[in-house]
Amino acid sequence: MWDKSDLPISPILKKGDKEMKKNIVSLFLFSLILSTNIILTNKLVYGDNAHPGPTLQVTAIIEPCINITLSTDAIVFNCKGAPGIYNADHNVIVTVGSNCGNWTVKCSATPLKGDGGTISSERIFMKTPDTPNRDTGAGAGFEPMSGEKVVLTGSSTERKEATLEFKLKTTWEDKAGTYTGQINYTYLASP
Amino acid sequence: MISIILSPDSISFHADSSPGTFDSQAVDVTVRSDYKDWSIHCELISPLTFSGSKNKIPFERLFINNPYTNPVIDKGAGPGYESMGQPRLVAKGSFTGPVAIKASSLKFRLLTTWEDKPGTYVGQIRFTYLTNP
Repeated sequence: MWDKSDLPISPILKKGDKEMKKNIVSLFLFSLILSTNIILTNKLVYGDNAHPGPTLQVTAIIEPCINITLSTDAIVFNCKGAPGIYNADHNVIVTVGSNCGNWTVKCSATPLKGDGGTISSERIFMKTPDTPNRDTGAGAGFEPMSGEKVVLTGSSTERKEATLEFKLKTTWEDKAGTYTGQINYTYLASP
Repeated sequence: MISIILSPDSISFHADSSPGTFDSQAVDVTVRSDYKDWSIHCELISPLTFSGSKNKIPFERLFINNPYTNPVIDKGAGPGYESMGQPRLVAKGSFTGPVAIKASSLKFRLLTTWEDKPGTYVGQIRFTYLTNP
């Protein structure tokens, strides 16, 4: 029968070292229980006649991915009255999913072109949940679309969305007609 | 004596679009055995790990399909695919004589999520055989 006193404790251990002796005994018992458990687990899973075979190497390459969807692919400004500020017929909901650590979605507008001339992109205004609440000529929170504008930022996420509102400012110089242009969305992501 | 050959001996998944399921190459298991009865099991040794970081893809998102998986069951990766969360039987047979036989063909599938950070993850699937002389 095994007894704790059988353990080969060094003679240099004195009375003050009792605590250490206790720890060594505990560690030994813990290791014994752990190894017994590992052996038992293997036996339970595979039985006595199990033998190691070949190994298959597995590699998974996850590419950076960002998925941007728009709730509509066209908006219209119906400017039927005197020159002024007109709302788009729809808000645009931008939904982004990405596995990247950090990402930013931006957009920029081209000038609107028609038979009557051009309406510069500075007269298209956009409001996002994050634009400052100041008025630059089209109402609080609306910023002119001169250059790129940040739409949404985030980190790895299944779904994040923002609602974008658009306005157009017309003048007496804008000839009657239909003007068309594009709002282009781009993204920047880092793993 | 038993000889087991995996062909190929490594597989890779290339998740190049939105999260979902991605297949690797199929793996043929070829066996030559002098034993009367034998069976082969496989298990993922550890989660797929992104080198140099704490990111892991857990066992449960790697799936296997082979002649011994239930063709009806669907655990999120399609019918017949069972997770590698536990050891799986992949082949069994008897004495083969001097000629090796194709004992099984294994298909592997990975389920990715938006939370899996871009990068290369690696792991190992260990095969174990049981014999009965």
